[in-house]
Amino acid sequence: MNIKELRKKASQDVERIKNVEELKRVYQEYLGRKGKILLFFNELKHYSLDERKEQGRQINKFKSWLEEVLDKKEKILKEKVYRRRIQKEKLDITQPASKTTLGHLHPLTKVTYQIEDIFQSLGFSIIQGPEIEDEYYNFDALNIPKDHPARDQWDTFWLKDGKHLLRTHTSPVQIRYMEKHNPPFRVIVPGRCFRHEATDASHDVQFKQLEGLMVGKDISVANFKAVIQQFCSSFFGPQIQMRMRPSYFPFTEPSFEIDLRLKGKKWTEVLGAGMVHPEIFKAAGYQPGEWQGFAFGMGIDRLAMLKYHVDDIRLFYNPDLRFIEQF
Amino acid sequence: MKFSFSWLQSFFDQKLPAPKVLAELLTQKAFETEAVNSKVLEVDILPNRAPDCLSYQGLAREIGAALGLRPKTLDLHVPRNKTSLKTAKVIEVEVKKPQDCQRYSVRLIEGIKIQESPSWIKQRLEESGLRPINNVVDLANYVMLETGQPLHVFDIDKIEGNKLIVRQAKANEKITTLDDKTYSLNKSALVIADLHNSLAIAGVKGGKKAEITKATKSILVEAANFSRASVRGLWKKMGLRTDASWRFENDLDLGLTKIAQNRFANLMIDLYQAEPASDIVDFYPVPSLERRVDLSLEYLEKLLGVKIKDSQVASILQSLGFKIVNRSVKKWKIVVPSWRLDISGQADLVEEVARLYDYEKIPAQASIVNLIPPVRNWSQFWGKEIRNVLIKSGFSEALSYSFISEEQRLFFYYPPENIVEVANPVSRRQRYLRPNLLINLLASLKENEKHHRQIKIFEIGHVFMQPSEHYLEKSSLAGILTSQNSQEGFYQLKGIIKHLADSLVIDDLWFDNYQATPEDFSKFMWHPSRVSEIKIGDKEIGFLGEIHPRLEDELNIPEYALAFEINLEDLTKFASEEQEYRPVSSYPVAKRDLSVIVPLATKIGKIIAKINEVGGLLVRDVDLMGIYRGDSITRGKKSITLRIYFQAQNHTLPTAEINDLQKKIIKSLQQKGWIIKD
Repeated sequence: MNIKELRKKASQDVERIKNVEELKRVYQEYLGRKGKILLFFNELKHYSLDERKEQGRQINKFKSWLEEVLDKKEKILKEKVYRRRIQKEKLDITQPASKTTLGHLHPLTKVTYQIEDIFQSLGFSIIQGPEIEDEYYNFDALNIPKDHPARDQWDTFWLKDGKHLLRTHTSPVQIRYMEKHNPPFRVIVPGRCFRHEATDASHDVQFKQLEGLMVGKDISVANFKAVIQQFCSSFFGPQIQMRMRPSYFPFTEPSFEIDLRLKGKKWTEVLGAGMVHPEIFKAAGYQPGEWQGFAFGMGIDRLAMLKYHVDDIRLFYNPDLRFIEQF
Repeated sequence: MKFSFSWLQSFFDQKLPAPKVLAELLTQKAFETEAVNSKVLEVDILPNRAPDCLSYQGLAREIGAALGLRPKTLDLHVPRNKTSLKTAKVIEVEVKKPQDCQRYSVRLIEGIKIQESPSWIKQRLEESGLRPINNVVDLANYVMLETGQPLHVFDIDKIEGNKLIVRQAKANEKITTLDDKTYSLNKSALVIADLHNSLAIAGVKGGKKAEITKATKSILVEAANFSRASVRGLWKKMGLRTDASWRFENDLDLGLTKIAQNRFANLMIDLYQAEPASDIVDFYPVPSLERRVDLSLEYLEKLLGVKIKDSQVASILQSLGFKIVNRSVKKWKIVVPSWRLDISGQADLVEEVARLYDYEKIPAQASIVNLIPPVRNWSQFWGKEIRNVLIKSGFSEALSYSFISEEQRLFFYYPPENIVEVANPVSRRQRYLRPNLLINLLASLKENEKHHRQIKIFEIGHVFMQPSEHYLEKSSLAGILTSQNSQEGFYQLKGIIKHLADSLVIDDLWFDNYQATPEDFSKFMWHPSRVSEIKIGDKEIGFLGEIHPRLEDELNIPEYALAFEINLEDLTKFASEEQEYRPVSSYPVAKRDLSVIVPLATKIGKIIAKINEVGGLLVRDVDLMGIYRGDSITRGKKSITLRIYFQAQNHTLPTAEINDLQKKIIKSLQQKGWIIKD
């Protein structure tokens, strides 16, 4: 058979191809490892040099012609297959979604992470402390003397030994930290705290607090305001309005409170703060007058309630998946 | 405290702003205040300001300072009466322990006619939340509200002898008070007594004995300064607290007794034409001294971060009654008014200046600090990583109470001496601190199962034990998964813990057989033959397994509950961020399947360990393909099908080498007495 005849036969074969499988077979027959084209090439050695050249050229021409034709044919065939699939394969997109298998972070954790991220970006390190405290760190060192009415602000769970208690705030960690570190520093302390009180929608026996402390040579009320404004607008958005008013805490002097509101809404108290009381620095063993700084504390439960419009604080500590899965 | 707006207005000639506006102003400059209605303000007096501001006089001073007005002073004038000399000797005061009562001032007033108070007094009292009784009692209350100094009046004709004694109560001393209640006192309380009987619980409540009645003609008025400790015990132990004792608890200006006595006498004369029959008999052994505080203006500016003009600082302090006695450039010497018991250092003065200057006017100013990045908190860091892994595995995070009940303790057989007990629990359900997280998580299953097909929850939190006299507080991680098939659930959970270990780059976490020790409470928690100890190296860090069938039954858990609890500190101690990249081998992997028939009790882990041991580095992985028990297998045996992946790091393994290795592995398994199925 010569090239001409082969080409004729090939174009007939290509013509007859109906699907991708047949196409592959034709490809093998001509272009495969034992295909007809290779056989032709093997025959070439019987020819003279000139003929060989001419024949070779023709075979190559035929080969590239066939490759091109098959390529085109394949594309058309595949396109047909796709079209058929697309016509056949339908989906009811209104069918309810499958349940995802991802779990949910607790809203208090979520809010804590958001707060921590903001303060970490402002250079605050996170520190922690124990939930069982002793009287010294929870009260005495914080300038809250025994039998002083100031202590009545903190209803306390005591343990049986009468000396230990469940911390009523995260402030003891301030003292523990300052005993071991020298200023300047910026820290925040998230943690679970306890109050001995009757529970209702806005009070529970336990809650999560976040304490902040920044101390340096000249850290001022004005600096506090800058940090807290930054925090509030990052956490609640730039529309939030902030108010600062006088308050009292035994461990800060001056003391103040921060209220927040959205335009037109009522003020909500979110944060107690003040300039660290000289007595606290004394308790931490610092030189009087050498350092100054601010401390603040906020209720994470309260912030989460504001943020997610949760109206009962007790929902946070009830492991009910119907609640948790909303976050 | 409730304040009558019209009474406050009476301190000023100028018209005060409307109650709502005044409330805003006070909130901004002094105390959180709410206008209850057009007549009454509710002012939340801060605890440190109770000594001076639980009074109209005190709040008027604050309003004056905030508005730049000067409040009127009280009329304290008492004309000297002819009879005073005659009766002055009648009264004698003895204070047994001056530290209980630093000042005791009394005055006799005669010519009393008990009647109703005029309506303006009644109105002012009512608006302040007090109930009018009669002119004398009302006036005592009126002066208390006005000055902050509690007063008490006795009917002098009912006092035996001419002496008032301030003494400790005797043990179990009984006293019947004006409201017809009888109290049994202990020694920490103080009483006022005549020669024979106690007449009043000092600073708290009057007694029935010398009560003012319609027949009262002469009264003895008491204005005293009782110690905080004497009244606080009564409140703490007996819940007994009155308007008077509340003020004593917060300490009072020693100078007030005389002011209140004179104010009372002044009004008695003015309103009721009574006759003061004596001067004040005043027990006041150690008069209080003038207090001075230095204020550095540089400190003030540095602490606030804003420069306030010297003249403004001075006028703020003066408006509050402070006197500046020495004004050097750097330091001012300041005399503290006697009523400001809260002022002891210059930080206190800075607060006075700051709040009246207005916190709102202090500009926000970013601090200039070194650019030190925050120090990483590893416990927080790993906590986040662990939560991520569990959430990706479908677990939701729960938080439960840190407390458990007596019933829960008994249920899990915790001996009371090993678990931390709260001395004053709020409810029976919260008597102890949780010794583990699972107790409360398990309790939530029943409710959750009503709404969820499969429960997957976890918690991270502190748990508490008392193994010796010291408390032990640990950070813990626990999770529960419910499943209809216990074994499936177990291996699923095991996979998750393995995955958790991988994420924390802990490569020697493994699961060991459970060995109950006598002092171990875990045996009550876990199904003894479906639990494993989680270990890192040879350190036990927790448990994983099925919850004890008894608990599943009694807690009404309809499915199997598989759980784990891990000591978080132990886990994260081994965690590492140093994940090292191991080059992926580019040489082909060869797979060979192998079925081993072993006794039912034989652990799969043992077979895999043997394969790894013999195959060495060339065995890249071994997968469990299936476990088969049934007809074709001898009773008491099971067939385990494993897939071994052979791969070398640096060359293509020739078939011959793989076959050799496979033969070696088979031989070693056979030496164990196991049968290899072809």
